[in-house]
Amino acid sequence: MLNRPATETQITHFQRLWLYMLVALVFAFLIIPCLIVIPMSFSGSKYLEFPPGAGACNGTRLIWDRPSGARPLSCRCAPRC
Amino acid sequence: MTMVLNHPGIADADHNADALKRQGSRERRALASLTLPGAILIFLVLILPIGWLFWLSFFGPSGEPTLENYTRMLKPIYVRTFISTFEVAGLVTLVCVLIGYPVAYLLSQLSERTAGLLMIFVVLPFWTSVLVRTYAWLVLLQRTGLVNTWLIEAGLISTPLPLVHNMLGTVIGMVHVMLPFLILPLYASMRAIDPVYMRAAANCGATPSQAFRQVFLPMSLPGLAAGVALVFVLCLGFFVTPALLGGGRVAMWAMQIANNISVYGNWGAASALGVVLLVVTAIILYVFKRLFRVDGFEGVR
Repeated sequence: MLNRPATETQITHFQRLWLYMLVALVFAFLIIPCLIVIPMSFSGSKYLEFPPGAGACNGTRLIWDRPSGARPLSCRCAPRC
Repeated sequence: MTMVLNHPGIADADHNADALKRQGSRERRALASLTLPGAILIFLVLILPIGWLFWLSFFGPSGEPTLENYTRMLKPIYVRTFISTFEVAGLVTLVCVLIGYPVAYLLSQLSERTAGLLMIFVVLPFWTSVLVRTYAWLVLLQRTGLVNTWLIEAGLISTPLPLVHNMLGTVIGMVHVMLPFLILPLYASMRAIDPVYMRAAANCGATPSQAFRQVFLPMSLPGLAAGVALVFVLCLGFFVTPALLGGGRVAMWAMQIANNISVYGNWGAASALGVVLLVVTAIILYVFKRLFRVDGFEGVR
């Protein structure tokens, strides 16, 4: 598989393994800060920290604990963490 | 005999030319009237505010006409800011080219389907708010952040590295914001390069690296120039990321403008800074256009 040509120029996949690795690293660089905000939204801390500390879900609870009129959904199973 | 036969022909040609000219001017008028709504919109939302900015820049804080706003820019603090703005923009653009070019190249070589799928990695950050991503970088890079924690746990370092609130953090954050702006036009222009050229180069005995250097690279330069110009110009006026990740150590032009308005309430000085930035940006774009013959900045030619 690795020794098969990758493009019309007959370069093999093995010869441009470095290119694949570099691109994978760049993709990781691009995507990690976007994914990290998802667990952070469940953090209970007043400071920015990762992994989310004790009392997690406070950010989410803020939405649930509002007066029922302001609640986006009428639901009684608010997560208790 | 021929004269007699030709004569009506010439008269006809004259007549036709006249009619064509009339029709041409009518068409031009119709086209001009079609562009009128757009022209009015551009005048209202672009020319008018910029003109007002320009006008404001010639007035002092108490409303008297003065050139003080421009002479103030020769002070060392402004000169230093000006230079550091260009340093940051240049550095960010360079890093973007170094890591963005290989990505765009690989994406352009894959099948449309695979490339479209992998494009998610490029456009997902593009769609996420700049502010959110900047705070995410703060979480990753701060003293007790993820990167430092991992490095210490792995035993690679003993004290946290200063990764943020300095030039390094600013450049990392700005590269993350700017990379899609480089990859997207570059990818579009690379897709437009016919793979037949590379096949022909291989047929003529070029090694893969020769084929890339002598055939692919020169053909991708217009797209690269478009991306570079876009990234560099956006960097020059960038505010959010340098302000949050620079920790006050990286002074950018846009932060001086914000300071002048929010701290000193001096609209004239802020306008003058804006005008200078606008003029410098226009000069850079013009030079780029002349050097690389980039027609428009859409990337594909």
